[in-house]
Formats: sequence, C-alpha cells, structure tokens
Amino acid sequence: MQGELLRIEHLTKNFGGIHAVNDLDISVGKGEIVAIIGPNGSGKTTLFNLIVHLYDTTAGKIYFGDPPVDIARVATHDINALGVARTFQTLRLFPNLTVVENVLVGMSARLRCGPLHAVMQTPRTRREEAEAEAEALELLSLFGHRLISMYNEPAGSLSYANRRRLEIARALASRPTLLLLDEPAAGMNPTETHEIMNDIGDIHKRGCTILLIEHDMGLVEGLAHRVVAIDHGTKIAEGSYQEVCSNPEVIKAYLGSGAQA
Amino acid sequence: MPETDFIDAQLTPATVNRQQKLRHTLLTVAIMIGLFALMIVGLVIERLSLFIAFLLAVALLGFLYQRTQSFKRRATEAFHDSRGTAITLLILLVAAYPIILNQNPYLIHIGALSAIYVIMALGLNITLGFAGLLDIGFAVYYGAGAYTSAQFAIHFGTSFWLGLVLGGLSASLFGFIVAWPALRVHDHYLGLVTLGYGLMMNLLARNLNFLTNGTDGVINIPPPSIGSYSFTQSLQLGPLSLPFQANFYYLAVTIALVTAFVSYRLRQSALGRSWDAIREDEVAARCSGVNTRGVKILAFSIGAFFGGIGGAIYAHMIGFISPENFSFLESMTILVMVVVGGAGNIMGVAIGAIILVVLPERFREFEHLRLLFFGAALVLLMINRPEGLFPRLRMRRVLPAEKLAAMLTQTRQKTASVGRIKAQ
Repeated sequence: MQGELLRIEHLTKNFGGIHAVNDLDISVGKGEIVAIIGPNGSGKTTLFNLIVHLYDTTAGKIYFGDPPVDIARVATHDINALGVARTFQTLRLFPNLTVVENVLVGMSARLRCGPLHAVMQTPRTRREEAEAEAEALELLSLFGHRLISMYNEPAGSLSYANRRRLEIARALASRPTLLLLDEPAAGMNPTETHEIMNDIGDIHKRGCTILLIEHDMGLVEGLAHRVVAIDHGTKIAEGSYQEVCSNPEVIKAYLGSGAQA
Repeated sequence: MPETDFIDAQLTPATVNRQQKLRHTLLTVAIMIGLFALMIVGLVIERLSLFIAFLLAVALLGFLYQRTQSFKRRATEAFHDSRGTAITLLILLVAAYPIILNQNPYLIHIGALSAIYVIMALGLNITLGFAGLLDIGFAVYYGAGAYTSAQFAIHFGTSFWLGLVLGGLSASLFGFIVAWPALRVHDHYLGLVTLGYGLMMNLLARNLNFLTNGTDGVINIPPPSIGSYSFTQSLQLGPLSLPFQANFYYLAVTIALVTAFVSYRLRQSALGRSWDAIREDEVAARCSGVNTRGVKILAFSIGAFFGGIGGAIYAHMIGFISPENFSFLESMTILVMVVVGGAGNIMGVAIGAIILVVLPERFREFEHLRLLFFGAALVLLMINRPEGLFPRLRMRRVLPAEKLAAMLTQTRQKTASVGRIKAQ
C-alpha cells in the first residue's frame, strides 16, 4: 500500500430515526481492491451514495485523493471530475442512447468545448470529439467484442450482462482513480461472473483502485485484497477474506444470532 | 451462366453505389417537391368544403405512408443518403414560396408568421425536446424579446438588428432567472413552476406601465430597415416585384433556418449528449460527470434566446404588441407545436409549428368552434402517435465498416484468450 486514496471517518447518515450508516470508518489504499460485504439493507449502497454525494452526510468526513480533500460537500459531478466513478446495483444506463454515446457521456467532466464551439464546429471541437470517440472505442474493447459489436445499438437493447459491462465502461470513461462497483456480478451466471472477475482484474492492472460491493463470495475471494463487513451501517469486521469469513460477528449478521458457527 | 457473370463484372460496387445514390436523390427530390406542391394547393384552396376534403386526403395519405413499410424505409434511406440535396432543395423551395404566391400577400404574411413560430418552437424544443425540461411559460421569452426590442427602438431609436440581439439576450435572462427555482423540481412540478412564472410575468406586463405601457400595449413599433431600404417597401427581385410582406418572410425564414442549424449542431455536440443524458436519467448523468445544473441553465437560456428572437421579429412585423399576445394560451400553443411535431425532432417541430399557424388561419370563420375541433384532433393524435407526428430520431455515429472489422478481429482474440484461461 502506497498511501491512502480514500479515508472515511465517522461517517453517519440518518434517514429519520434510522441510522443507515453509523459512525463508519473505512480507508482504501492506492492500488487496492477492497470489497464491502454485508446483508441486504446493511448500508452498503448508502455508503456509495454518500461518497459520490447523492445523499448529504449527516456527520463525518470523506477524504479523497493526494493530498486528501474532504469531498463530503462537493457536488456529485465535481467528485466525478476529481476521479471517483461508480456503477449502480440497479442498472442506470441511458437506454435510448447508443452504446458509444453512453461511454461518451461518461467523459462529460473532461470535455471542454462549450455550446459556441459546438455550433461553430471549431477544429478544437472536432479534435476533442474524435479523441473522445477513439478513447470510447478503446474502453469498449476492454470487454472483447461484446460491446464493440453493439457500438451503434441503443443501450436498452443490450443483454443484462452487457449492460453491466457498459456501466463499467461508462464509469471508466472519466479516467477515475477510484472505481466504485455496486454488485458488478449481480444477476450474472457463473461463466459471466468469472469473466467479469477477469475484466475487473484487468481494470485494476490499468491503475485503478477499486472499492466494490458484492454478494458473490467467489468473486470477493478472487479479487479483494481486503474485505470490510458491515451490518446496520456499522463495521463489524475487517481483514483478509479468510479472516472476515470466519469472524463470528459476520456469521451472526448473515445467519442470525441463533446459528451455530 | 457466363452471361450473368459478365454483367456482374460490369457492375462494380462504385457503379452500383452511384446508381443507388442517383435513385435516392431522385426519390428525395420527388417527395419534397410533391409535399411542397401539396402544401401550396392546401393554401390556395378557397372553398372550405374543398379544404376539408383536402385535409382528409392528406390524413389518408399519411395513414397509407404509415402502413407501407417498404416505401417508408426506402424514403428514410433516400433522405439519409442525400441530405445535402434535401437541404439545398428545402432552401430553394422556401425561397420560391413568395415568388409562387406573388399575388397573395396574405399567404406570404402567414408564411412569415409560420417562420416566427418555427423559431420559437425550435427554441422550446431545446428546453423540452433536448433537455426534457417542461416549460409551460414560454410566452415569457416571446414577450421579453418583443418588449425589449420594441421599447429600445421607440425610446432610444435602436435599429431593429441590434434590438433583435437585445431581445434575444433579455429573453435569455428571463430563462436564466426561471432556471434557478426550476433546478429544484422535476417533471410536472417543473411544469407548474414555469406555468406560475408565465402567469406572473403576464400580470407584470399588464401592470408595469412604465415598462410595457400596460394593457394598452406598445404601438407604432418601427419596421426594420437596411440603410434607407425599409421593410415596408415592396421587394424588387430583378423584374419581379414582391409585396412588402416578402421582406419579413425572407427575414424570418432565414433566421428560422439558422435556428434549425444551431439546434442541429447543439444536438450533435457534447452538450446535446449531456441533455440526452439528463433527460434519460439525471442521477446517472450526474454520477457520470455531467454538470446537471449547468446544462439545465444552458437549456433554459438558449431555448429562451430563440423565443426572444421570435418575439422581436413579431413586434417589428406587426408594429403593435400587448400583453394579450403573450398570454398563457400562447405558451400552450407553442408547447402544442413541439408536442404535435415531435419533441426532439427538429424537422418535426418545424412542421408542427407551421401546421398550428396555418390551420387556425384557415378555420377562422368557425371562430371559437375551431378550438373544439383542435382539441379533438389533438386527442386523436396523441392516442395514435404519442411521440408526435415525427418521433425523436436517435443519433447515429456510424463506425466505418473496416474500422469495426479491425476492432472486432482484435477484440475477438482477447475474448478467445480469456476463454482459454477459463478452460484451464
């Protein structure tokens, strides 16, 4: 670990009287793959929504980058520009935009040409668009021919697994240093899960730090350097996959207090 | 069969392409001239019974077109393939309109009025069609442009051309103002906010006498001029003398074409993509780095700008404006133009605007009864074509075939190697 990329301190989010996230501390080092596990409703997705500021935090700090900046009050699109990109558990593509356009939207924070440039079609605009498209093509090719062959098709016509892949490609389009993946293997069959695991490994090799939420333990075991288990918005265990999985607190959270370890 | 082989050898791909291209061009030209002729016929029919028969015939034609899939596909391909020709021909036909109807100043005036509404409808199309922001107060921008340009011309002697720009900018400012509260609400609630804004501004226009001269309106707005040439003079084109309305017609039509061009470029741009994205899923757009506040404010301001331009031309063409011109009903009319034509489709919106200017004029003798017909027609249309006459077109970036093929072979290898790892 070469230093911290993300450090979350005492993060709390209340919805009315419910503590969705409660005094949570998590840190992610540069180049790490950290997995967050926990039962449904334990606050994992809320955590992601807090990091990208879709929700306002009730209390706590979210430091990102080097030097660390508190991003808890920064606008969502600016957080993206700083280098945090995410995918969604419930897929949120732009269904009527084509596959390549979905990826191009992911570059919004980086494209500099405004409306006047667009109307005039200045050489700068044309260059920027051409470069963006070339990069989109390269990102789509991360998933073999699966997305490239659907280049001009509306995203809504993709198969389920391809939509998950496209969400990752769109997230990568902003050249993030931290990628948040919300259940990247949800709804995938074992072959597809295996493939997405390889793909995430490739993305990690490109220099991306990854924080992921996942229920598929095979994927977590295969990828994660470190696992954080949360329940009721609180961290209940942290460590290697083996450590966390044998932790009695974790077993209790998943199976209930009556279960025998 | 050696003979067919010989023929095939003669037909190189280039020849086939050229023949196909020619066929497409001819089909495009035929369709466009046919539609233009149809429109002229519809305009010059005097007898109402004949006109109604004409409308029914056109509706039938449209219905048949819907049903014949093969022709529909061929026509679409033809237009796509010969876009350059289509645009040139469109400009020529539009330019020919006052020359053909030389003897009929009224119809030239209607043409100019249509063009003004095309400008405004295209403006609303940016807000509603591109960015998906429901604006039921569009008459505010229309009014802002008209009053600004008119009052500057009357009190400061500003030329129409400067007034046009000032009108557009002042309308933009009004769009910018409503964008702020509008950022906090969505969908129907946004409609209510803009509706309230429209009603409020109309009330202000009625009562701020020092600015708008209240309900009496502003009279004697000077017509535009270029040097010593006033737009109220008849237009001399060589041996041809066109009624003065043709001046306004050419002015409005030129600006309408520019508006369409600007709309097109914006839609194709990164900004257009951002608008598409917030229309489809705002949260995902924000997480993808789209500055949703910024692009929404731009959508309101740019849309309003064209509303103001339309208003400025209107004020100087008619010479008189009052708050009546910018009422709630006016906002509704422009909204209906966009919805009927097909929100997001530039050509569709333009056609929607023309239809909704021309038809009420043709049915003038029915007085208020015409609204009844309109209501019924609108209901029928929305049931049968909920996306409007011309639904939104998807942007298509076509990846050159050879590039795609190259990418595919390259990436198949990658997929294959992943497959091998799995197999091990």
